[in-house]
Amino acid sequence: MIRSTKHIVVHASLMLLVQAALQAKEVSYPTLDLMDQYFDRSSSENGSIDEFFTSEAAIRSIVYDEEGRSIINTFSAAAFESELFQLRADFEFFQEPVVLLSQGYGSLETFFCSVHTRLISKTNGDTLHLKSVQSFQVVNDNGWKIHHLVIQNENPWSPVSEKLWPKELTDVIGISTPKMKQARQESSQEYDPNKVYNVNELDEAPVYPGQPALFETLLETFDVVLSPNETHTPFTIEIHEDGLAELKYVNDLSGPQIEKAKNFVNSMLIWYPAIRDKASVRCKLIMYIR
Amino acid sequence: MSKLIYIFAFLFAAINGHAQRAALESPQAAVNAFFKASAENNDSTRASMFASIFEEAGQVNSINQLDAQNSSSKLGSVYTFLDQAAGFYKDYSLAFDEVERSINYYEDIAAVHSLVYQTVTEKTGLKTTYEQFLWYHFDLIYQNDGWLISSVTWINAIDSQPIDDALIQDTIWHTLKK
Repeated sequence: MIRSTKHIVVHASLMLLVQAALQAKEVSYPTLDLMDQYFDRSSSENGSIDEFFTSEAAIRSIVYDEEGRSIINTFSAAAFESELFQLRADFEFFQEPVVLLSQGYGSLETFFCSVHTRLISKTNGDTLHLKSVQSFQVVNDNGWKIHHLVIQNENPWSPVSEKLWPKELTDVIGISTPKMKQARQESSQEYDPNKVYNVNELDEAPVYPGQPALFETLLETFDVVLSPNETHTPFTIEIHEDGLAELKYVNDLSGPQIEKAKNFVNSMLIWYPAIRDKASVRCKLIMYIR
Repeated sequence: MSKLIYIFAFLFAAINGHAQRAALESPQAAVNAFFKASAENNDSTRASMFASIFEEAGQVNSINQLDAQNSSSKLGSVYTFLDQAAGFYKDYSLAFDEVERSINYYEDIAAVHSLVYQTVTEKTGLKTTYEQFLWYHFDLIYQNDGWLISSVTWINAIDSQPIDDALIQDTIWHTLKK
């Protein structure tokens, strides 16, 4: 009898433990689950994200014209998804949040977060890493859904802060492609990663992405030329090993010319970086502005 | 390589120009202007004030939190809000006292959180006054030399949960995939 009572007690205790464990498992964070699902699905080849948004949701991305002025593009969830599908035709698209700043009350939750995006070309395997900051408004309207999303890509002139891009987390992804990293390791004795090379010291000069006409249009827009002449003033830009362009020597330029040169560099896409000894390196380019 | 253009067409692509708006020099100024507009009694003046501080496709959303589990929401455009709220403004006047505000921002986007004490007074009859705390969340974007509101959502306080909780910010680190 005692034995059977003990058995019942042990059994009951086990049941309670199991129940407690199950209850503990049931503690969920529905808005975080939503964010996980959204980022996972958007990173999968054929994943649809439409269902994570309210029917009235708006997604906005900030873009810049030739003069550096911001322009807001607004998408519905369906239009945003369509953009993603088109992108996935040529690239493996992967994105994940890095740091999320969350605030919530009742049926409203907000996330201000940094996001790492990786694009791998399906044709040549080239990888592009992007950082962005995104602001989400999430509402519980018959289930948690994203109602508003704003996407701001990183401006190389103003890197995302350490708070939103902590080294402890982001060292694992780095910013260069694994191929580049490998190349660097292989040739670590043959180039100086801290040196800014001139074009004539390189195996391959940096390349501006897209058709040549794209770069020519950019040059024309800002009245920049690549060869010296009497009407244009020289300045230098540096193409970093991750392809980001930075305005460097501008001491010969006037105030308005500096502003124009800044906008010129701000309008650039990410370059294919210079190569030396099979590794991407920093490189200096001289240009001339009117 | 040409496909890279497409990436930026998606992530950066420029499309439309926008109408001229009031140049609000900071997110704070835009939020202040919003509360001023929200307290405006005259319909056309209020509509004009809203039009000057919102991005073209701006959103105005409200959530009525009934209790810890239940809520109802009205999600829509600025114009829907102005249209639907006209009847309410006819019967009541509004006043807002901001208690606390915080902001997160990067470059041309900002997210502002504001805790507000709202007073609603009947315009006729007994002129009864109702008071409540509301938490507002604003998304703002810098454009045309000024800050514009792209979306605002607010929610009312309920007795069972302190509204101050809304201003507590959690920082979550996400484990990244290699």
